[in-house]
Amino acid sequence: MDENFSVSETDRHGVPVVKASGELDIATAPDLRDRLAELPAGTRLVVVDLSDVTFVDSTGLGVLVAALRRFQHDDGPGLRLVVNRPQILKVFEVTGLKELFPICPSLEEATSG
Amino acid sequence: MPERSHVELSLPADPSLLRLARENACLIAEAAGFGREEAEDLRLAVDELCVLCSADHGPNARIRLRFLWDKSAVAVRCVVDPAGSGAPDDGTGLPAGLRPAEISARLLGELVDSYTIEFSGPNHKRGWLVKRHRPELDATRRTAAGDGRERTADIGGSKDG
Repeated sequence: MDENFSVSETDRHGVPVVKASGELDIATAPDLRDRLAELPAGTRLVVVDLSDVTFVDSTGLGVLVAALRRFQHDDGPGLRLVVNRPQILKVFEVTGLKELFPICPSLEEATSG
Repeated sequence: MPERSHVELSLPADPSLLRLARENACLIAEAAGFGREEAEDLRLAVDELCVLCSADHGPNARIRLRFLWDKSAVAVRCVVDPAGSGAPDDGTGLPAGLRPAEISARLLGELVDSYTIEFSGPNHKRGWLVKRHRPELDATRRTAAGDGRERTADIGGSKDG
């Protein structure tokens, strides 16, 4: 485990929230991937909180894309992201992934409805 | 600052050490007079350059980076000295266009003014990138690509290993 990165899981109103903190890169993305893999594929809604992530690269994005597909349901995506740092949001914008992910500015919004 | 400066960095292709390359990129961006957003762009671009060039190698390979900068731009060359091979997660199973290497290439295309990744031998990749200093982009945050940036380089363009 990279000491500059951590992943934790909490439950908020019945919704599993996986919170990543630190730099999400080729060294740390497997930690997030493994934590997400522990959740049952049929989970209705999973929130990945990236509000404390200070860096994300293509490897981290790849883990999130795989999770989006894993939690995809017939009626829509079962994965939401919390992103509120401009530099992280920009990475989703320039890769076009902002159109693919439901991205919320706050955990409250991501876990509601 | 001299008209043109350079720094060379050599590190094992160990994923946990890529942060060294990123932090170096930030420091050099600062030395070149880049603003915060430009420095963040360079930080991510250098990470992606290293990931793309070292993807087929194990942690015993070495990444050699050469940063060259002046007041107008930063150029970065990356060469990987192979030693053994790794087993990269190449995103097999993900749809075309969403594999990490494809996302990586898209990021580089958007963050820097020019870049090249090329094979210089079997499983031996090298690459370089150039990012020009554009003070006006830090005053008004870019929200979209395709803003008419040049795609040429006049420093650091040497592709030899």
